[in-house]
Amino acid sequence: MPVSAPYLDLTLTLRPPGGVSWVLLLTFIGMGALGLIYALPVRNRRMYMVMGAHAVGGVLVLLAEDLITLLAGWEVLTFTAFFLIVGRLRPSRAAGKSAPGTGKSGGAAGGSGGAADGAGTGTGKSAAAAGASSQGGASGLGSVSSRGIEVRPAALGPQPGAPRAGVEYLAFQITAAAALFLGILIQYSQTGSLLVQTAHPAAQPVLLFAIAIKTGAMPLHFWLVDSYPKAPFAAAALLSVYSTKVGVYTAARLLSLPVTPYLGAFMALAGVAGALRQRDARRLLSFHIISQVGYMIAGVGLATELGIAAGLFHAVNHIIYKALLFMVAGAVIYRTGRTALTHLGGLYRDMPLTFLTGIVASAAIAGVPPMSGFASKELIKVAAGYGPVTTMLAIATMGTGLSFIKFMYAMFVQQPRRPYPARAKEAPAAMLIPMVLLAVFSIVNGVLPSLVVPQFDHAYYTGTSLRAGLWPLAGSVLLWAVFGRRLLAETVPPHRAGRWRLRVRNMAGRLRLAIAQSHTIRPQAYLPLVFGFWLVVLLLL
Amino acid sequence: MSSLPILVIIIPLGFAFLSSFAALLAPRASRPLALLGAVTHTGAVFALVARVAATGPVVYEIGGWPPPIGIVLAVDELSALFLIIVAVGCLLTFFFSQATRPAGAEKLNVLFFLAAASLSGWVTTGDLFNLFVFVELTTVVTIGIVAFKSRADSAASGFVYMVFASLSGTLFLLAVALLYGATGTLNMAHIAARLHLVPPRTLTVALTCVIVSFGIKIGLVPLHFWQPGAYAAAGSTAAGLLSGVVMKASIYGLARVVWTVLDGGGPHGAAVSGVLLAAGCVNILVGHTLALCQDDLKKLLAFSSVAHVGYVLLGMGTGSAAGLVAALLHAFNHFLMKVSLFWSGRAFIEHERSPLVTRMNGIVFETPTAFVLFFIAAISIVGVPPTNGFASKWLIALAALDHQFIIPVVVIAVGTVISLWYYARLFAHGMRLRPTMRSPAPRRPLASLTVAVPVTACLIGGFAAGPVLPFLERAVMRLTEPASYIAILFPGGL
Repeated sequence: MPVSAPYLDLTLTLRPPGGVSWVLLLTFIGMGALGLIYALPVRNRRMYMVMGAHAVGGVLVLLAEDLITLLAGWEVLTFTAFFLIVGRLRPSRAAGKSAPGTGKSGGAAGGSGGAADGAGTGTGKSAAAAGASSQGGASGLGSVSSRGIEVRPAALGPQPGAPRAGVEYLAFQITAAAALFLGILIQYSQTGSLLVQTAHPAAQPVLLFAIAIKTGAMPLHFWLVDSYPKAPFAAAALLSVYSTKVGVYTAARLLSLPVTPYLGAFMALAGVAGALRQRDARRLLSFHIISQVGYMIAGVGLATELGIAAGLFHAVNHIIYKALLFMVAGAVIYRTGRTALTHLGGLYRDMPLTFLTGIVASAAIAGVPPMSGFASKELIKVAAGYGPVTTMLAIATMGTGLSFIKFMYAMFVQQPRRPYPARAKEAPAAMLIPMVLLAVFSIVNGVLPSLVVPQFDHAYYTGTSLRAGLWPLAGSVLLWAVFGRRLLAETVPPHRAGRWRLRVRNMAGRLRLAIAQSHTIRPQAYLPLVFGFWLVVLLLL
Repeated sequence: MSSLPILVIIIPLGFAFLSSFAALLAPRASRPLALLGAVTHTGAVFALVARVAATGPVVYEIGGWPPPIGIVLAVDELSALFLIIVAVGCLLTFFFSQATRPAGAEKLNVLFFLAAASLSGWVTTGDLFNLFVFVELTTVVTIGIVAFKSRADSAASGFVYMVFASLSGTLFLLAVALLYGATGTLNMAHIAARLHLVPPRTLTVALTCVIVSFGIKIGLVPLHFWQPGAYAAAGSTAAGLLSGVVMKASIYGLARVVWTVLDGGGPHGAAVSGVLLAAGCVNILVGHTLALCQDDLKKLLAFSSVAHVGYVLLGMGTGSAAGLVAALLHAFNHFLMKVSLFWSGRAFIEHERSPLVTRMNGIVFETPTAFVLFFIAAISIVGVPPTNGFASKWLIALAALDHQFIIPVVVIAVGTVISLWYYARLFAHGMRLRPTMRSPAPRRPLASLTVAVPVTACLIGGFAAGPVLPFLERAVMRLTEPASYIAILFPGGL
């Protein structure tokens, strides 16, 4: 049932894809629905609309039969994501009035560092305060702690710096889109076809650049790790689903460069390395998106049928467990107002269901058999064969295991280093239902992988594959035993790249001002200017 | 012989006369009179365009004198395209200014009507000196429009505009004189037919004069300095008219004179293309960069116009028919997009009482309708598929790529990135909350409705452009094959 429309002298067509892409399409649609259910407690109709549009963008990419529709899908995702990131949960006059009162305490919370819990500007906090009041002061932590800091509502609003992160997000994404535009142009002028298929060799490098940005390959990953942690918690789960996976899907359909699997393996390693430094729950998860997308790129970059299926299978699984992890982090934020791993702890008693689903998701992302992550990683390894790529992926798996032991331990198990002002409550049902469903899917996809990839009759649970899957995890446990304490130290050595970015940003700001101010000219200068230009054109002709 | 070509000039001229009296004698009648005039003018234009589309070019011999002795109005497909821009632009301007302006500024209507008349003449005349007269008439009217608002810097900006415009006029007059001296005629088709009489050196100087003259008007870098000041001083309504409509007429003038009259430069054709191509790239990069550095919304949009002229020049500079078609389509699309941007941006400026982007916190929530309109127009002008901006940008880039012009294509991509960046700053500011939220802006349903027309056209333009392309190809034929234009005026040959 294809749908088409004329566009210029071309035709744009929507047609559902087959194979694993079909399952990916179902996952996209299902995640849109679950993401909306998860966001129900915040009651913001405007945000629901943008979230729905975001899901539509992802679906549009999968339905696209021609490259222009594909690009349109990319752009829909970009713009809706921008509004989700910079969005407030609820703007209102009441919120505005309370801002001066809470602004001071917000500043105090923000002063304790970028990863401080409940860091919020006056406005962010006040927007969230309105969200709280809309629930009639629903249960949870008290709104004012012993130190006078509003803990819970602060995390409902965006973090400080969200607008800047949003602009950065747009700048990166439009660069990717512009590169894709170039790639499409080259493809069309070389082949005369706009079909979504393996691209002409001349277009491949440009497309690789576009996809490297879209998937957050280092060093083009700032847009991802800066923006997702700043988004309102209810939107972050949805955000983690589409953008990068759309890049993977595009790579699967268009790319055939032999270097791609190595890029993927590099991303898997670099993402894990970056994640190990992180102390903020959602920033850690964001780095793991890059790492996991690296696995997918390593699979689809092989450009074999098995490789593409394995990569997309991993994409389906990753969407499910990563969204679940963001939902777990979101539930914790919703109930405690904290995202700093060093400030959390002990929640397994108060939020047992959240804890359980978190365990399932962590096991899935680390690739513990029989979780979904194990099955798809196994298939990628089979597709890639033995070689440097497989080895790099195994090392990345070791880091992933380590990272998620840290994640779960810090959130739920360790003694909380900062006392909570009141006991946290279990997440509300609207949040728990999607979380439990996703946890179930994480197990089902692992136990019955042939549901997703029926065309490959692979024996997933043999002695060899289990051994190959388990030894990196043994390594993780060992590493945790040795380095665990250091991974959760409160102070993090400053990041060199961060200082560099600050310097560049300052310089750019000064340059901008200089250009803007210098661009005035006295009327007396016009005559020589015009005459000079006239002479230049005359000489050129 | 149809008299429609002269009617599209006379109708607004007559209404200008009437409304100047109405402003004095019966201020209450001036509003219905203005709308009646604008609607009549647009009706006449559409009747004319329909005839051109159905039966080919329409010629009107003024006073019944046949060319080359008499002066003619020759409306071919190219003129028809720009007539639509002029008529629809002026009609929308009337509606928008009636919807937003407090009563008591009826005199502006006179200027709008005069602009409509002179612009209609500009794009229909078949006589080079007539073209000069209409260009100058438009200049005088637009100086009035720029300086109409009694703001602090209105007079200064009007003066600067006048200095630039008179330089532009002088250069054009020089070109006309040179060509008249060499060919002994002022009829455009006649000059084109006698082009072999023009010595190459004279042709070079004439071409240079024409390019620089219209270059000043369209904001060719480095002749663009007057634009931001003029747009910022003019009201948003007038800025939309200047950038959306008047600038397009200059693009028409450039295309018509350089291609139809001077055969694309004749022996200098390759050099002309090269200059336009290079100028296009420079305009795109400089215009977008300056817009990125600008905090004043109107100046930002003015620099964006500078950049988008670059896209048009780039399409023209490819030297191929496909490139010219793309350039014309982009000119039309830019009219729709820029008018929408200036007019929806007006709501922000009015609400903030400041044109500074950095102060527009919370506009998303306080002026939601205007923001949605602005947002759609902005993504169109950035070139997000499937809007019309993407369609024309795609065609321009494709035409450039067909000639292996790699750098211009990369420039287009880079320009896209920069342009989204400066609109994103506005979006991000709009999503912030301010300490005390303002009360929502007054609703202006008529204004929103007026802006919604070009915005809707932006959204569906790409899908609707398919059937229009053959019409544009015929318009480009009049440019690339001067013989086809000569044949309109001299069917039996000279």
